[in-house]
Amino acid sequence: MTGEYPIEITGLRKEYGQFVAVDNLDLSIKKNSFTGLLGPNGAGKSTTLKILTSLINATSGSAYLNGVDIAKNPKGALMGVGTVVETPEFYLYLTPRETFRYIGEIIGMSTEAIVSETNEILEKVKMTEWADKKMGTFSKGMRQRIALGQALLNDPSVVILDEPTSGLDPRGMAEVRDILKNLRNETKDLTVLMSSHMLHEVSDLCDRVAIVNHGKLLIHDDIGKVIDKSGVRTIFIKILGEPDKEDITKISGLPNVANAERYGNDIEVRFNGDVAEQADFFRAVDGLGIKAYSLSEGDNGLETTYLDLIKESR
Amino acid sequence: MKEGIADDLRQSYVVMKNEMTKFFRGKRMLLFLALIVTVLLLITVLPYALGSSLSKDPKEIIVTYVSFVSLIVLLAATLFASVTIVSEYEERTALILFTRPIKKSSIFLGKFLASLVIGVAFVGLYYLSVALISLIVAGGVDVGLAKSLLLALMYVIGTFGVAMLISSVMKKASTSTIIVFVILLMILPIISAIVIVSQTPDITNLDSYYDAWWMLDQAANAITSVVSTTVDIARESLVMVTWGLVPTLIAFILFKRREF
Repeated sequence: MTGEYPIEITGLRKEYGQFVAVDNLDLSIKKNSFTGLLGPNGAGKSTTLKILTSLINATSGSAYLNGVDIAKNPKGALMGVGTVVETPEFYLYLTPRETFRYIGEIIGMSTEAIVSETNEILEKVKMTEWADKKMGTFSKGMRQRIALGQALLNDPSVVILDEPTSGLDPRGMAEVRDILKNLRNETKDLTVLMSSHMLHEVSDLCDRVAIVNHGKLLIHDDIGKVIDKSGVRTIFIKILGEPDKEDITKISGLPNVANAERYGNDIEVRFNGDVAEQADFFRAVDGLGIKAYSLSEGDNGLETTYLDLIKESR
Repeated sequence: MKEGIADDLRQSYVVMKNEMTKFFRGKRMLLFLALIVTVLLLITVLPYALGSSLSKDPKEIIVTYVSFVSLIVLLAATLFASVTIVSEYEERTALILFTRPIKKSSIFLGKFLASLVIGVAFVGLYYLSVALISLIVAGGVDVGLAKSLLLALMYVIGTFGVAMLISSVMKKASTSTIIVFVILLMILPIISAIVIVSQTPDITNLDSYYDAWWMLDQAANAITSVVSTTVDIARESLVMVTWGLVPTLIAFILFKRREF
């Protein structure tokens, strides 16, 4: 329970009759990290986050927010914590501004602070022009942006997000992700724990990942290290014109390349090595004389690791 | 510690304010207001429309009006207290409110007080209207009105306690509303009737009727009878407050344990 880990979970267990949703889970979230909580449906992600936000009680074990036991002192633990759990609904008779005032007053913010932060946050979540309209007519994406906004009131040091883009259309997803990216880039003292189904979303937003299945933690580390642990990455090489056999043969002969094959107009490389070896590989490709104009890592670096871990844990 | 309690109460006040905003901006409030106005208009205007008039005796005027108070209180419990907790779960607003640094006791207290304030305000408004009508028509107000008001307020506590209990365990606001209405309007009077009949040795003899004084609906009869007869106000008040506090306490325990 040091300041190094604003979110700490020890031996957490949640049973629903015979079903064990969370099974002796230990997880410590590093200060100022943006951690993705990944797992298939029923893995225990939402249950864990609901325990952390005091919506349900654990059967056994403990969860701490900023060193305060959520079961013993939920009010103290949730101080300085912003949350968006599932897709919350709002008081439809209130406007976003009134909602922020309500939440701000509950937190104990001064009227001046509520007014100034509301304007700032509404700007941040691009909802300024809707600030004084009743939320009954808002789309799901707009409500999710308001949900994110209210979670940011009073500059929380910890934000807990449960599938923040779930159920949104592509535009809504992109908007919410943009807000989260800005949050990550612009806020210094902030620890985020975010559950998601979407691997590319976690790759894109998070610097760390925790993968759970059957309520158990399978791995928790920096995303790069998690991918390294599986050893296999997919790299796409785009070249001018169509790739020919000679190009593919040259690439296949480079160190750590498990396989290279044509994938449309690209070359898909299965690379077996860590990030340092990947850097060497990029340099080596440059020296092959093939007209490569883009080398990028496929999202499925994390996907491969994820699928392997889930498969092993069955 | 004191700061903690002061902050809990402050948060209850914030919740209460929001809950009252919900009531004031909702259709239920308009419906209830229309109902009260209709009751007052019917009692006041109908006798004149039928070629008769209101009694000139303040006591008789008050009895006429307060005989509808039980129904008004019952409807207030049905329209307001029955939805106050369950709506947070049904409308998923609990995901916003309950994940904030606020104790469930503060939420519960704020919501209970909001319902109570609305109930008390409407009952007070109704009695104020009756007093004005009595003053205009009969030139005075009988002291029985004040006693009746006191008992009506106790009945507000009693019925709202029952409504809070139902609201704390139900999943849907509409179901909660119907159940509260049925319990207060039918189930409790049926239980009272059965108890009275089963405990009365001679059903044809009115003097031998069993007094089920401990039932909420029976105690509520005192709201009207106190104007014209002698009533044990302390006992009836105690019964109604007990009917309010015990279910409220159970409601709070269930609400505190309830998971989302």
